[in-house]
Amino acid sequence: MTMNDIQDKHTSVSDKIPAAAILASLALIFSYVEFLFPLSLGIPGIKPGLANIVVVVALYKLGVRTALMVNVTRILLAAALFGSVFSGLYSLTGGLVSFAVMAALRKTNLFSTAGVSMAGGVFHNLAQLTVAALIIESAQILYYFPLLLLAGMAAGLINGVLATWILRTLRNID
Amino acid sequence: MFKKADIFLAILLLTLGFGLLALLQGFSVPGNSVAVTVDGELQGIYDLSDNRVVQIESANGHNTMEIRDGQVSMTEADCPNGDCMEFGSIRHTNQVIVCLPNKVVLTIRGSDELDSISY
Repeated sequence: MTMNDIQDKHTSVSDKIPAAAILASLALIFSYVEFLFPLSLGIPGIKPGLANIVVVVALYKLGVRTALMVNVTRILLAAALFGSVFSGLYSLTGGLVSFAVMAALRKTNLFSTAGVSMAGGVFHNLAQLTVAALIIESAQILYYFPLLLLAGMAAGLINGVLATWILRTLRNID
Repeated sequence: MFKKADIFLAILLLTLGFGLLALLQGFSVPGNSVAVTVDGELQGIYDLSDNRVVQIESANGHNTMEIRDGQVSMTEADCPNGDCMEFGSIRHTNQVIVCLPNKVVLTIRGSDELDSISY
């Protein structure tokens, strides 16, 4: 397994599986680090979501289907290893909504990688907030809408810039 | 690295985020009571002027809320993450503390006097 295998866009689906597995493991490690060292910024539940750097790289390097595989595998494994059914469903909602938004925006070709990731971060948080409001059957939690919007924007932007650098480096290795 | 659409989206999000934030701050006044709901059902309303510790039992778990000097905080929770204790203290109207696993919501309520003044 070399970097070239990860990069090649013309390989078949079965050839992408090893690459997807490696990226899912990498994303899982990012999630685990965040789990071990939670970043407390005064607003509970706000995380940098570093695993999404990997998802964005996968989206641009390997395409929608493989990136989705990486994303879902990472979320399910994280929930099974150091999460719960509750945290897993919660993170799956955010992960899938943000992924759908990122895949759609990428297709328009109007946005840069960082812009796509920024939108993904925002929709990740808004999806989770909506689920939270439904779970607790109370709209009061929407008080945090503006804060979560801005936090998702900042995290998505930073992750997107990092993903851009990684993608650029991968291209240079080519 | 950035495209025109990125900048447009960023400005839109920043305006929306900070606009709503300013709006919330503008309408925020110190409250006078805290409402406790579990599973969307009102469990009780407590005056902020009385210092006290309230045990909140629910089908999902157990939480402890403390009212001290007009501020409300969650001091104990049996949920795995304990996110609700990270909210810190709240005292302004519409501020909330949420314990998602136990479905407990604490909301600061405004004073009724304010309504009578506006008449």
